[in-house]
Amino acid sequence: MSSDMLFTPEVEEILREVASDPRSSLLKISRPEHLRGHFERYSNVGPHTAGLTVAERELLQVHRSEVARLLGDMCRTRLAADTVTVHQSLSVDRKVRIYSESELKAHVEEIEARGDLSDAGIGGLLERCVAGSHRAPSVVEIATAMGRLEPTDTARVLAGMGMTTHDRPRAALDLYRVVLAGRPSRVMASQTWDNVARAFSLLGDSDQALSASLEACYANSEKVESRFVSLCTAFDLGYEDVAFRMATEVNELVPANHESVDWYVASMTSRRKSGVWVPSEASRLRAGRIGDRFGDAAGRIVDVST
Amino acid sequence: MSNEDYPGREILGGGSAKKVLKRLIDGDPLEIGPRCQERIEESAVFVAWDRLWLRAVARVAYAAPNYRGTPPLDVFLAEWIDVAIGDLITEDREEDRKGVPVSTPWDPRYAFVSEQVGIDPALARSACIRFNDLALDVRRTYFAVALGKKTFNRWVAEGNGPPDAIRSQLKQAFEALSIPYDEGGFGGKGGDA
Repeated sequence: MSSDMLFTPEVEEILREVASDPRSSLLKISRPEHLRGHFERYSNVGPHTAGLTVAERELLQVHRSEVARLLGDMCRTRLAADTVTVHQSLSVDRKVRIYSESELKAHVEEIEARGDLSDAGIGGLLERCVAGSHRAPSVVEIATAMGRLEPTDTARVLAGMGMTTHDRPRAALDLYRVVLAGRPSRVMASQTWDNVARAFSLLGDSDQALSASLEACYANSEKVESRFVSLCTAFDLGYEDVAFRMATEVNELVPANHESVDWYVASMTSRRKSGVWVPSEASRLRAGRIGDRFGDAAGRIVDVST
Repeated sequence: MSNEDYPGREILGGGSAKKVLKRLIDGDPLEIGPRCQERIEESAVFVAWDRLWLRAVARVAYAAPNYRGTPPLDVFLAEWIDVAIGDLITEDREEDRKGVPVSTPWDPRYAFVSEQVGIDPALARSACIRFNDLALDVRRTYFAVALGKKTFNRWVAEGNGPPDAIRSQLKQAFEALSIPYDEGGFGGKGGDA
């Protein structure tokens, strides 16, 4: 290879094509004639060179991370148990493991046996979480503690969900804005946009809710649940072209009997029965006119939402 | 095999996480270091091998007191190395968000990426974060073809996709390495809050 060609010609061609994009930062500095391999660059690598003290610090970090994970599980369990906002579980993860109080208690005991949590102020919080008392901490409180231990977008989004649950969707939107400004991963971006949609929906701003929901779809091309929400919202608002586009994507992603469709139908049915959500009259009329044109999975979604 | 007799028991069994940690560090008896390198290559992610090794050892030591031979040792170690990879990817993202200065050129992966595609070293961390967020098949194509393990034609011949799809994946990878995401937040497609 020549000095300015570190890849094979076909790969180099693609590199140069991308580099020609004005936004691209490729090929802005000169490249070496010969490239040393990635792993060849690590000399004397290994924990033995770092020393036991450094390794023990890593162990402490792992412990904090496990406590944070437990706190996240507690948040999700509480959010999923809240029937009014049961739909929020969509934004955590449909397949999220929901723990019983006894399982959580066992996890807390195991964590407490592993080390001293007093310095992080977490010990008392964990006990209150499983004590079943009126002093049980809120989701926001738990998520905040989680974020103190390990600042992550997951902790921020869980705190936002807790705020939404407690009628503070505007405060939640502020938090989601912080997450999105930090250029989160695709999965996290999609999850956050789902929650933005939920907050706008609670604020009664369906157009913003739809925009956010479409952003969630855009961020994660495989997340069918975001498409269910977009489809329903667009249908309800009378944006038929958007609804049909979402229907096409839904039908391409899952068959009508897919578990995600069953889950969404069950969730919407439950919300409807509890009176949390009632379809609009316009939506019902629209369903009578075009409801049978959505087919397969999308047809079930439209059917349950009208 | 009894519950108390399983591969790796002499290293992982008996004692606290700290004791297991000491055993794991002393000569790397379970070859966690080479396993980390393998998992980096299989997962096709830019994470620092030395940091991963250290974190993986801590993860395995922490999990060891509950380990009784299930799942098999290879699977057990691979699972915790994968968790450690996830830890480091999250930490990179948080450091980038906070604006913690990049340790370039001392971090070998940033130096490598910078030299390979000719980007400013100061941009290499963000580039790696975006790359690690790509779909697995895209990352694997880049690691295989662009990092020199396989030729473009061989990667295609091995059934990893038609030439156009592989070209598209390489393009996505180069874009991720060089083009920042759109600014997040409302006010763009999402409209004003």
